[in-house]
Amino acid sequence: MRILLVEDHDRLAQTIVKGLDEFGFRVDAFATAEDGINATRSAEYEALILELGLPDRDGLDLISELRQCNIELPILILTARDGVDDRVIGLDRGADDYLMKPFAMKELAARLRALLRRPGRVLGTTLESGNLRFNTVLRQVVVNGCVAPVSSREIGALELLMRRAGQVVSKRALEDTLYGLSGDVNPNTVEVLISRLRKRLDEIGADCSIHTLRGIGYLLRE
Amino acid sequence: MHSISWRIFVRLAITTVLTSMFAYGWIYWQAQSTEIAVRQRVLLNRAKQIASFLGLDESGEPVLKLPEPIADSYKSTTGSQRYAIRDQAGKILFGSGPATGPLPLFSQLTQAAYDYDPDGPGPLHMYGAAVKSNLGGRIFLTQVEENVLDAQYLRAAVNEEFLTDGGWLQAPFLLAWLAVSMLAVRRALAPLKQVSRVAEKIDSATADTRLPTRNVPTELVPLVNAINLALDRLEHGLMRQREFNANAAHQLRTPLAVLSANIQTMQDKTTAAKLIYDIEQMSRIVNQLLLVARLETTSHLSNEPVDLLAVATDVATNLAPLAIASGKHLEILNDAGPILVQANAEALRAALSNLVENALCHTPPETTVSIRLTQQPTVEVVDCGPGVPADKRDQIFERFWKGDRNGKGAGLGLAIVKHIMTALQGSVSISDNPGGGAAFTLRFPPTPQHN
Repeated sequence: MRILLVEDHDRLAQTIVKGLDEFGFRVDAFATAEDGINATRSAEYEALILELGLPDRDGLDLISELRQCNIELPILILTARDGVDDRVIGLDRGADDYLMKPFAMKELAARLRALLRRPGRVLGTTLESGNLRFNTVLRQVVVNGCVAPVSSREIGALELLMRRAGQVVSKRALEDTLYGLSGDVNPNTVEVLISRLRKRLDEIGADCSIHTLRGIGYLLRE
Repeated sequence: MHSISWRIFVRLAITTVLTSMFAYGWIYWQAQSTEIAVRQRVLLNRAKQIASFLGLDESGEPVLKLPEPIADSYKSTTGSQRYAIRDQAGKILFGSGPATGPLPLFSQLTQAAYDYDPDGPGPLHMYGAAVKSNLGGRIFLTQVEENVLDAQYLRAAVNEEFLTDGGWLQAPFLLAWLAVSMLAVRRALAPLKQVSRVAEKIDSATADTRLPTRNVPTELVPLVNAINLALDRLEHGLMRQREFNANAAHQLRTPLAVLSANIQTMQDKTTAAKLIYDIEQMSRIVNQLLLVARLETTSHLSNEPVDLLAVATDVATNLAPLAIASGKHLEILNDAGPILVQANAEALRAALSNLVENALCHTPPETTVSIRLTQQPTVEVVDCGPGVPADKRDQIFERFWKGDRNGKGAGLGLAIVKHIMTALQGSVSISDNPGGGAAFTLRFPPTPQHN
């Protein structure tokens, strides 16, 4: 998979190129916004990793320009700015995700994969977490190569948790996804469902677990 | 009192009182001299009247044929009014009884007015007038005198007339004049209130506001302009500071990112893990320093309605992976729905985030850190750690204070929390968690309830 990186810091760019290579991404790095834009015209990229503080122009403007040209490239902002405003402006202008410096290469790779897994994106249809695999097309849960019997409601919840593995999924998000906005959901429904799913993962020998954070949500972790 | 209105009022009042005293004095003096002139004229007329009744008989001797009413009027006054007619030598030829005073000096004139004190400085004071008349070649002198006690009736009449007709009119006029002046001053200064209302709203978020000079009195325009120029310089400094903060963030975090990325590709995973831990600590300190720098340039945090529950959920969602990774539980306890406070969402998020991170750092694994919301409104962060001894509770909020010299962080977290809560006009305090551990409470000023 070919990824475009626009980052003016040479060493960071080199390290990202090298680091993402280990995760199976081919990265082309450019130091200026101008070069980055030209690159999008001359080659097909699957995603753009963009530093906001570029020498020739602001990264936020670059996002606007790309979106105005109807370039649907997923954009991940890499930024040293920690103001909420900068992030919100970035997302509003059409960026898909952001990552604060400094970051773990693992996380950068995971976020890229998440972006590429979105509908219509290149990455395959299989979500992974530990020894657990979930095929989003076949709706099959596989542990250690064996298909495990999981009900469709449980699969719905598991998919959401696996897509956001390592991050919190709120109870509300689960309710909305599983029962729709109009659904008259009993407050305990999600709790019961998660407790069943947890038992199921245990039974089928998955090495990831679902943590409950009272009042906050659920988190799937290897 | 230093208000301009008050100063003008005092000066106007003093001027008014002095002017009216001067005016009254002048008018009184005028009345006095009028009274004297009138009295002299009256006395001279009486003297001439009496002299006109003087004639000569057939033998050439002088005779006075005073009509009865006039003669009676002099008799009935028992000496307070009197007349005398003398010959050239000063011998009294006719008189009303009591002796008149000595003759005045005529100095070429045919008439003279005079006054004298028959009893020295006593109450009695006489005014007199004398005329010369020529009858058949002989000179006669007619004197008329009047006691001052009678003259005082006249003076009283004049004074009364002055007070009733002239004097009282002045008081309401002067009061009205003062009131109009005060109103004019107030109207003239009203635009300054407008200016101060604008000035009140200026803070670091609205540093580009300038004071209006429209309608401001010309004398004060230079002051307002000077303040605006000072604001220009402050805004410039603030912008430089903000640029510096943004650049500092970039210049500090990018090398950390390089370092971190390089370490992650190291072959020796044990050393890499240790170094990554160090980099995480370093990043935390850098983040806190940058936050401190950012807060310093925003001395007054903008206020907007913020939902405490949303902020708490956001903070907990961000920190949950950290909590789970370190084997701890994190929860939000909230009975009611959203709780609105007037605050700055970003600052509030930073404050709460620091408290929760702090709690996660200082508590043993398998314990729970709770974020508890109340309607007061408060947010409590309760942990099951070692707690904070009572004698350390003040120091703990000082910058660079560290309970454990080798502990994580730079000791900035709680100082930041305090700084933010002070700027939000709230407070932060520590108490004991009844089950053991510490309870940090963020309090907010009560907000007027909207539906």
